[in-house]
Amino acid sequence: MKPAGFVGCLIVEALKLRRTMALALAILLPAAPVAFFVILILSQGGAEFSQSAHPSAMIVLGLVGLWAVFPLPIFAAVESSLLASVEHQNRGWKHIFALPPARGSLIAAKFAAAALLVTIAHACLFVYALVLFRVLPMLEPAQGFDGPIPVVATLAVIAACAASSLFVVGLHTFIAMRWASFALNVGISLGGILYALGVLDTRQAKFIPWALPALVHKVAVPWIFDLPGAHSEIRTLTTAIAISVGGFILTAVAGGWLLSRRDVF
Amino acid sequence: MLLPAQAATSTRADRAVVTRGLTKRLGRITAVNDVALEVPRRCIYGFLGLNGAGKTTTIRMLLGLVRPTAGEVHVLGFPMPEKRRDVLLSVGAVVEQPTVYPHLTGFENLELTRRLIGAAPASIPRALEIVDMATPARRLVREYSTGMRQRLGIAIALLGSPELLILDEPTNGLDPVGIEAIRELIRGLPVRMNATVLVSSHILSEIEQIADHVGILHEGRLALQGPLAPLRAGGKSLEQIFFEVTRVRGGSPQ
Repeated sequence: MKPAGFVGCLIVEALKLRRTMALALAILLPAAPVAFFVILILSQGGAEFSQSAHPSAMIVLGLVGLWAVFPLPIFAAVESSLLASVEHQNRGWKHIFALPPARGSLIAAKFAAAALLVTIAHACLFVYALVLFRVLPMLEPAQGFDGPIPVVATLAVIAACAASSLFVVGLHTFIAMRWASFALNVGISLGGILYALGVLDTRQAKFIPWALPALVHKVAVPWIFDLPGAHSEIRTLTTAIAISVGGFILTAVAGGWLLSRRDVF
Repeated sequence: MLLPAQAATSTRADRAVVTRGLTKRLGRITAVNDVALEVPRRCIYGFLGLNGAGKTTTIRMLLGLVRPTAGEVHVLGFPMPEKRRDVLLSVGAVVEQPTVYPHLTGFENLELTRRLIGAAPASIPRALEIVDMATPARRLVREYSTGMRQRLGIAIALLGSPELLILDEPTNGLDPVGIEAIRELIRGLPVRMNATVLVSSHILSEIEQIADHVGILHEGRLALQGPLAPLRAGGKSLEQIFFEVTRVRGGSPQ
């Protein structure tokens, strides 16, 4: 697999995303936790956030938490299925594998495109979070949400969340490319999320792909916002992100190896 | 059945496709059995067979999509899959239905493949002109008729100015007007593109009208192969030849 060949394949994958549900979902779905958060503030007044010692940290903790625990792992499964369905539905594998680029480059580009979609989703979540910080003082002027916007800290938390989701993205991208069934991929995701919720407060959480985003969000916010007692969690944070990034690379390499050796009927 | 190395080499030079002992087993089923194809350069080779005869599996082995269980494949003088990239740079293919992405325009579909094969941007209008699709190429493919999709698929296959064009059942699902249009298009390709065309079909009349060489695959075996004119010298139609061959091989009339 040559780097130039891979880059060419990745550009083609990016061009293929035009007018797709996968791209629309990456842009729109991160708005859901923001909208939910706004409804929460409007219905309950937001006093639990504004009256805490660290209101900005609490807002980011709540917002990213709403995203990381459930929508993000499901999004990883759905968007990888949508990405692979572009080929499954149009019998595209036989076409692209009958073209000169190495199969490894074509498959690696799919994994990279899945990671690109997750990055786009988190970039959107960041933008929506900044909009939320702007809008909150207008929604609840009495609550004193008019402090400085923690741009860098919010970006750091969301970037950590994105990195922690790579393992689950890699797993679901492999499943989606190998099997055309949408139900299988989403079913595995739901099972993984339920199991992750059960082990989130245990030591094994950092080894469960579906638990990594929630775990990282839980420990990243106190550390990034420098809350008391946060430094003891930095090891968990770095380990979880390393496992996620390493898991993605391992899944892409092993999955790519398996997929590139299959007969294409 | 392998030819002596020297004979095989001299054959490959003037052949677009040479296979020796090509076999594919799928579990207990032998889909392709000891096939020795020889497709001369710059001809239209009609690859005939009933549904399930093994045509598509053979084509997939020529393109490196499926690994042979046994035998060897040489395309344009290169061994497959060892020289996969060299082969695929000079081969265009439409396998079964054309692969086109309905959410993109015809032009965007062409652009994707053009980038993957590294062809010049000018190859797109040229391919569109050959298949007479210049105007509709700006529309989304989901709005295309079956015939337009087929022509777009052929345009995609023509992008790299291939030396060998492989078309698997190109008239499937087309109305008579569409069939006629595709037939005329294929007929002109050897001269217009200086290319060899391997076209598979189970519609004998189609192949009879366009091919100058034929190969008949029956139950995974190559039952007959050669130039069409001598085969028809006795006044027989391709249909008669086909049924004679498949009766002998298959043991019962089709």
